Amino acid sequence: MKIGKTASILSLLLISFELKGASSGAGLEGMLYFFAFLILFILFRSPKIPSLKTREIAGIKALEEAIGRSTEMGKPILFISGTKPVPSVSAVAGMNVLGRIAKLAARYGTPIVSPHNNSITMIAATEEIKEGLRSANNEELFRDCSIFYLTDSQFPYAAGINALTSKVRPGAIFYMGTFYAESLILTEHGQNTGAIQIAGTDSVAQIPFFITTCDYLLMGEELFAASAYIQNDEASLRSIFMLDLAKAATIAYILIKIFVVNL
Amino acid sequence: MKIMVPLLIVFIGGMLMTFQYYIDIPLLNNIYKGVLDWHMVIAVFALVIAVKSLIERQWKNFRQKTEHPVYPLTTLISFFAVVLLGIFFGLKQGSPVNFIYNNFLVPLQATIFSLLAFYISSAAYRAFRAKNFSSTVLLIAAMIVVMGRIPLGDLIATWTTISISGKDFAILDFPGWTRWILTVPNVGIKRAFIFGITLGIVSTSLKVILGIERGWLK
Repeated sequence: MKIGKTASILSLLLISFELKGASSGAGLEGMLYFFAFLILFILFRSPKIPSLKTREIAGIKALEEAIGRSTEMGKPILFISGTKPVPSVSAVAGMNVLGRIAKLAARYGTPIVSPHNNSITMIAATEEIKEGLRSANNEELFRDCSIFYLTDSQFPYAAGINALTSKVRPGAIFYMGTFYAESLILTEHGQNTGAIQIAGTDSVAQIPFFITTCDYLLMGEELFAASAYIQNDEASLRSIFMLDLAKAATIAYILIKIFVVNL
Repeated sequence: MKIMVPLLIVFIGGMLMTFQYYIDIPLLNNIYKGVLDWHMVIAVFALVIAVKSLIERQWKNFRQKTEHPVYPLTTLISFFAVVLLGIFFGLKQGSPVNFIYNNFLVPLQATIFSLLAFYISSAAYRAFRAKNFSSTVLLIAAMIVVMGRIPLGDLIATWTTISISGKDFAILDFPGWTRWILTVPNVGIKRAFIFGITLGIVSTSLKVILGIERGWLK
């Protein structure tokens, strides 16, 4: 109750200021939308709400199969982060998936090769892999892993990864994050090497290319849901439920607005 | 303390950046500009780490006498050559670095980009197979779009145009069907994706701001 009151007062105070995006339509509506989301988030942390169950995500379930296959073949696995660096949300979600991959790789003793196009992403990936190996009590495996910086440029990055794929011949390739035109160059080449490929992206334009060339795909919001699904704690699972609620509310809002405008 | 301080910084920073996006307050705008400047400073330091990683890896590859030692050697020589030429001759129009950029890097990038055309063909060949109902629908839609985008589609539409009570009507209107596919079902599905992705981004950002998502603390 206190949270609701505080949020209402805060919203009223904020509305009294001049809104930046009022002319472009991103002002009042956008701000209220954000705060509605924020309130929902806080409310859904309440312990009174019963625990939630989520459906399995095929792409996440297939991670183990892909790493297992790589182990059987005696080949390393390749993790490719997207073109956007770590402060971007898709890269953060991708790093959570990498954590899960590292844990599984540690269990099977399969080394990870991970080229990056940004040094901050490289450091985040290194820490994520180290943490994954540590939690599975296989820290020695880190010596066989190879996490390095390649280049910032889009197409040289694609060329470098393709050369690496041809050289290393990984058993499984994971693409997680935001990709642009390089996506098909990477995945088509990866497919030609016979590796099992799992991708996760929020790039709408690249989804058809990933569907065509990859074995599994975390499409759009599934990448963010997968990140919460992997963490498997109550707060993260509730955030998925909250996401669905927000979606339903937005659809209802659009329908009402269409009705009101056309009345 | 080790966890609380970073969480507090992220919470305050995240909320401030959110407020400044929606509300026009000079103080918040100045903070935002300051944060952007700091971001650039940090990016410069990040470049140092990147260069270190690049040199270390290429040097290691060269020393290990891999199958093709010429590749890491080329990378190292090119890297140091461009850095030295840039320091001594600058980056202005007509400088050696500018020449290397325009005559080596740009054509090489264009070469990699042009591979996309061939990869699209091979991916399309694999995707457009009538294996089940869904893939048959995809195949038919793709064929219509292909026909609507080539001159032959326009010709067929012209040849099959008939006049009904003074109005022209094309029986095989590939360009019209293509327009409909691209602007109605295609845009609708794209918007549904964008919709879900945007909510996912807001949700993940909120989790980071509120300290629910702590993966970045590792």
